[in-house]
Amino acid sequence: MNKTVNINLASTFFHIDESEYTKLKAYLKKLEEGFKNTVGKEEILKDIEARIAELFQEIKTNSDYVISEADVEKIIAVLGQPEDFLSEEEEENVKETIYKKLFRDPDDNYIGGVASGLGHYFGIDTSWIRLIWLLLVVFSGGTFIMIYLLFWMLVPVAETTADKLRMKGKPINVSNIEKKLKKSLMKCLQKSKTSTTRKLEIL
Amino acid sequence: MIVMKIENTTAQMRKGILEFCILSLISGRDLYTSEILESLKKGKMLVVEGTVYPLLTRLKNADLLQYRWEESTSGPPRKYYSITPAGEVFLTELQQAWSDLNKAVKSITQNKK
Repeated sequence: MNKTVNINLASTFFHIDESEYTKLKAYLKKLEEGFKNTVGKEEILKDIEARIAELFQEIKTNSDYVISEADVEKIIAVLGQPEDFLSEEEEENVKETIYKKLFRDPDDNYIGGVASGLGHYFGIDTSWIRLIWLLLVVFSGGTFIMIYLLFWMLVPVAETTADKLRMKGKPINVSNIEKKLKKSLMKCLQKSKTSTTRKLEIL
Repeated sequence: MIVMKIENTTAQMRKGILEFCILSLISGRDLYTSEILESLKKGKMLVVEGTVYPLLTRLKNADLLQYRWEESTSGPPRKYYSITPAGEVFLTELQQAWSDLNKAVKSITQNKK
């Protein structure tokens, strides 16, 4: 003896075995979970529910028809499992996880580039870090000079372009490396320009 | 070693051109969801129906498709999709891209000897 329940799918009523009702509910839940990052999730789920109702309607031979295990399995096979069609959607939504690393910044330094490195790491303007360092050094009576030296010794300098990107928490990919290279090239050109103008001035 | 499964590769290929096929079908005449599924399955473009729903919603959100509800005598109301003018423009571009791609693939795979 099986208990049956009445369900309402897209405004259509069906009788269904209780165990099959649980199975169907779990399937819908799984779809919902799968589409949780997809734009228009509610609409997609509603459309799929309507499709299930339509398929059940085709199966149903009379108004007393009870949806069976085979029927539920059949519609799940027709619609597919979330993993069958979600791979593409998911890839779009997966954000690149970027690991920031603490480096000393050789391009922006007064002493060892510790302050600018910390600034990149915490995402704070370097001026603030420098101000804090200064205050700490003044009020601690020298202890923070030691701490600064420790940082200087222990934190590596960002030497390669990859290091510099990692220091700023930017993903290391071709376009970012290209950007970075262009930037340093421009810097070089500007430097040589100013030095030539300086030379000209001397002359 | 990575095992390449032929099913996975063909599924990837199919996915890329599914939107093109959907737009193409609907540009012929307005269709409701099940008719779209039917045609795609008949053309062996579809393995599981679930794939189509996120695509339809995406095309609709991009204003390439629009829909209206129509009552049905045999079941729940049907969502009839039609193509928008922007969708027609997009479809023309896709047709061009497909024919270019087709030519390119043909010339590469046939002249390799």
